[in-house]
Amino acid sequence: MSTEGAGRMLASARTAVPESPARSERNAALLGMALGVSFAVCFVTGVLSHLIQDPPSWFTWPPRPAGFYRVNQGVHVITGLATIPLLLAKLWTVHPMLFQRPLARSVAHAVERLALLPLVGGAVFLLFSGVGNVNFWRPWPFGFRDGHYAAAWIAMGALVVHVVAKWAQTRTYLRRPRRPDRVPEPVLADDGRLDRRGFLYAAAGASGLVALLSAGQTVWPLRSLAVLAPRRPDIGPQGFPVNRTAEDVGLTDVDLDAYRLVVDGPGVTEPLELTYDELRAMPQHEAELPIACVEGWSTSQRWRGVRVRDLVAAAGGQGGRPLTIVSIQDSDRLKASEVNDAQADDRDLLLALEVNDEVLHPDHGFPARLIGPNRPGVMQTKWVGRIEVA
Amino acid sequence: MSIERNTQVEADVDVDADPEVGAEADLVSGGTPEPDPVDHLPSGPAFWLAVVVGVGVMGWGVWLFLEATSLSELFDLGVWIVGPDVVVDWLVLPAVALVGVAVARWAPGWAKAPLQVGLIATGVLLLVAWLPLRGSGDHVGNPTIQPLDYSAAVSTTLVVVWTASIGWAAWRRQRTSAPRG
Repeated sequence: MSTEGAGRMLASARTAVPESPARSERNAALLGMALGVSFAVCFVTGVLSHLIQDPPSWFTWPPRPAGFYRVNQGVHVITGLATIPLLLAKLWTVHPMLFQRPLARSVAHAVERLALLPLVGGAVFLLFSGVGNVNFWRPWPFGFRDGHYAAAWIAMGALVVHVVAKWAQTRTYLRRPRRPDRVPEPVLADDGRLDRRGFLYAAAGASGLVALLSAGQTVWPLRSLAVLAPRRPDIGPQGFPVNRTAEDVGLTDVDLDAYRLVVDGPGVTEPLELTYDELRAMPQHEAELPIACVEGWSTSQRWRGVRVRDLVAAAGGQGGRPLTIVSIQDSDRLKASEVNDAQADDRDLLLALEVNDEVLHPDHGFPARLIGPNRPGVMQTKWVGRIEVA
Repeated sequence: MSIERNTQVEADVDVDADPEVGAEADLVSGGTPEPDPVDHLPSGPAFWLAVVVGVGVMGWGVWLFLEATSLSELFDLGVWIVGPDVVVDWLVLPAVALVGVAVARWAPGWAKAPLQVGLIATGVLLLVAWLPLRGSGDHVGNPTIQPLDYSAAVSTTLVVVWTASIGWAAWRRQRTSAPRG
């Protein structure tokens, strides 16, 4: 169907039924502001998470505050989910403008309209791929992180153009109109439908409902309400979830007689090779630390094990050297993770052997896993076999 | 003042008119108190500077993607950015409009807003719960992924939403049919 044809059809439908009173310039402006804030929050938290996982040379992620990454990812995912109703409400509000004729009234107007394609498409893809990713449904033919990250930059670039193009108009409609009678603007229109304010409340309510039913995957007091969350922080082996199971990587039954933890690398003078029993015989340290997944769920647990800095010192290494933590599984990119110099010296960076007074479950990385403050879950390497000191 | 009517009025308004004057005129005539539409076409150096910055930021995103992947995957990304836009603009929103038309034409006045709220909440819930409902994470073989009974959760939430909507509609009906005076 041609654009003109579809436009005519919609126009005739509107003649038969009065146009939705929900479609107002003020709503478009208010929803635009809300979306600007929510996308900015998702963008900043997303870029930060990306930098933490693939740090450039100028970026050092500190180990404190211990729960910052947990908050960062919780905010990223919950804000993203809560944005879905707001984005749909905004697109609904401005949909008639798609059929605006002439298509462009100046070169600048054409550029502004063209920028809507990466803006709307990028925004929809970001929310779609985010929801798909946390639910382990990834139908796109490229890596999730690559696509989601690139789409974020593309949408933000288009957003810059859109915000500046619409700034004056938005300011006009954000001005609260003067009502001489001081009677509050109605929520319902004369025919009983939602009026401008009613529609805005409905969109905000839907946004709040989605947030409320998902936030419990990271906000502990709301966990029983997290009926839509793909994870519950209290369900899993030893009472919390995992992303990669021992079965996945073929480590359900690690042979402890053959297991060795190696501490080596250019930063040590006496490389170590420790058995599991030798590790257990070393001074043990306890720390309450969150495990925070990039997918937004998180939970705090009580971990017990050997301080990594003690292991480095036992191998004759200097403190504060970057480390590479290598797993005995080699099936994917989670095989190894980096610990920067700031984190390496932290008192709570542990090679954990226990959680909540129990020996680690194979799914949590038995015989030994890394756990440290303020690190993404994907970098809390499980089934650790080697610590390389730079 | 709706966005739809806007396009018609635009031709008659003075571009430089004070929007607040229009707002007051609207009030006098009993309309929604919103400023009259003012024709803001993008222009000027600030806009073109934003275009340069925006294109630069978009280019950075494309470059990052190409650095990690390939040209053919960039094409795929383009399809996945344009595709959802087309689906939303030409499928989802027209379908929503049809439902809206049905509610506006055939639902009695007292039922319209409760129906709208119930439908909005239902649509959003199903959108977010669609993947857990169909067990999209089952293939991973990790029982901690989607561990809840999502059918029961969604049904319960919908019962709450629709009970509230029906209750609201019943209250509105009673109020409209009650003798005045």
